[in-house]
Amino acid sequence: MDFNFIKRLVKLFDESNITDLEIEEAGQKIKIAKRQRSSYASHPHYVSHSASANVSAGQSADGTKEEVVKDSKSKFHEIHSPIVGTFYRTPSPEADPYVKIGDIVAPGTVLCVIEAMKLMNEIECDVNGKIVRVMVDNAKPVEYNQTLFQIEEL
Amino acid sequence: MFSFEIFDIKLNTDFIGRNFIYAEEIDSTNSALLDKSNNINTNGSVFLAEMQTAGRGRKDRIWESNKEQNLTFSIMITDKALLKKSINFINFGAALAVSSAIENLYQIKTELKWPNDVLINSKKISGILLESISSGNSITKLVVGFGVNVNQSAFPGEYNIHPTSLRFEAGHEVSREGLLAEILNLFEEILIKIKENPSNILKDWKNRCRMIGEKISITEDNNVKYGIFDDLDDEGYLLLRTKDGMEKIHFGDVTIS
Repeated sequence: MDFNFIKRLVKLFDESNITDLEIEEAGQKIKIAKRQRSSYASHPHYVSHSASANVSAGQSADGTKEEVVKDSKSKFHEIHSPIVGTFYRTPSPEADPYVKIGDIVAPGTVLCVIEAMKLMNEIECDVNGKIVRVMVDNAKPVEYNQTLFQIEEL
Repeated sequence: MFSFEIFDIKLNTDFIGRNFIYAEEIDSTNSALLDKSNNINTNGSVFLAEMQTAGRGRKDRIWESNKEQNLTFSIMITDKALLKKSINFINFGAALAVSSAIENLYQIKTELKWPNDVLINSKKISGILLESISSGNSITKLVVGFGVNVNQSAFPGEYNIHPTSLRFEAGHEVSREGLLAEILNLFEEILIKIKENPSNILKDWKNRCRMIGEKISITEDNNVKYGIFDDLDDEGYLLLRTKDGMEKIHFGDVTIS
């Protein structure tokens, strides 16, 4: 099989939506496949919030999800948990959340509380911006440095 | 009335309590230190109130304390080097300071309940609540709020753990000024130790906890977990050995079952 033919084939395949391609010609067989990306499956918190999040511009219907995550990470300001604990979006179970998606925030705006071992840690925003994503469900455990919010800086 | 002269003579610290704020009555000493409009940012600032109208514990539980009989105070920590270390060690250190102060001054045996309650004969003598503010990704301000039952002679009402006071346990009234100074002196020593080698704090804490190795239950809201209090992990979280394996506990009310 001609090397240039294979090169062209790979290029076309790469630009297409096809995930598997197999060609057989004169007893020679070539198989090309795209590796399935599974970042969503490994980030359950992300999945649970992706429906209500503002999807970044340019995402195609079958867009590679991992790239969307990477893209949003580079685009948005992220708030991470400074401690291991439990994430609370509301000051008390009956109260409204401190912030919701779409809310405009400023340095000093309280975003959430993380609780661990009789420590209540209030997290304040450090930029001017808009809440784009809330990455964790209320009352769920969070790890050190886990992303809690994505904020579009304004 | 709290005597500043007596307190000052006994205070032997470099930074804790050198900025001292006193109030007859306040909603909560933690809130007062964290309130931005009060503009209190000095590392080691202490806020003592004779009466808290909204003193609280975890889960917004009320901390009740009679006026001028007990100690309700908070300490502010803004030292960045200290806040970078695990705050859990400061949490344990606060309980150790109270426990050691009581044993040093009155020779009364205390024990610690995870994470930071101080007990005498299984009754609560002190509760501690920490509150912090982080801006973006780092903690900028921490307040450690202490409630110590000193000279209160009756505890009407219902409690999660039955309270006691030093007056009950020692059999006489004790000096609040002397006790506060001793707690602050010891807490400063502990903070210096945390900066040098935090693992020693865990060792000291474990030596004063009689629940390790015991069957316990951990209650959080309506959820109860049972198991053996196996140990603390390196960060101070409780390791609960259950029939399904080891579970790391971040918070909850621990009771020997």
